[in-house]
Amino acid sequence: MARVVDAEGVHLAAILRAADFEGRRILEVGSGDGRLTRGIAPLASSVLAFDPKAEDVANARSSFPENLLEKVHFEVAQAEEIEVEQQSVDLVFFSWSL
Amino acid sequence: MEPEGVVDVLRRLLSALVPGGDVVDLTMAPPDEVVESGGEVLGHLDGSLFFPRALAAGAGLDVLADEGLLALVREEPVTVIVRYPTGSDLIEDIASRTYTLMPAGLAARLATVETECLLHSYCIVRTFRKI
Repeated sequence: MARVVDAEGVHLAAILRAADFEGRRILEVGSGDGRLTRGIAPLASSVLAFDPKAEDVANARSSFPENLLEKVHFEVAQAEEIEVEQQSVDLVFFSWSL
Repeated sequence: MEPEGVVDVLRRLLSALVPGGDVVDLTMAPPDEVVESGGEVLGHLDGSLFFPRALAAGAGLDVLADEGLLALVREEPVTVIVRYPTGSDLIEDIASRTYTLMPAGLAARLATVETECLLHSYCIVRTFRKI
């Protein structure tokens, strides 16, 4: 089943209008297959991306642009399981995950 | 995330954020998602089980705002379109969701559609700032 989500890019555009991602350390909760991660990673200084679905995280990793992988870390975890150092990120992004 | 524990989880995640940092929340919102094909609206999905859960979870951020830990600085509605090659593909995708239901009448119509179907989903993007 091939579906195309937001070919128009309105989602990412709205996210980028919502806050300044430039040079910031991002914590993304609910990164899914990395669709929005791919859009914010070029701007961010780093992205910690979590999703509970192992298959989606594997797809995100394998399809992610190689030149951006060094500043993006994907991990399988429920929001309840996420452990991040105190005051270590500049922006928390909940993507359809609350 | 289960709505019941959302405030505790948010409180913990908020501790990872620097003072003055931002929280961006993208969430689906009513009205029900609209199914369209060939420019004709075929019907609406049933979000009566989904939306109360989504809204309760999203309200966790409002709880923290009421406590003075966050301030709402921006809110924007966004409509996102998901495209499916056929009606059956859309039926299959919705069947994989837990809380969004496909009305039987709409499923019957979609099952006969062999052309592209569009799903219009309504979302809200909210930005909070940590105080």
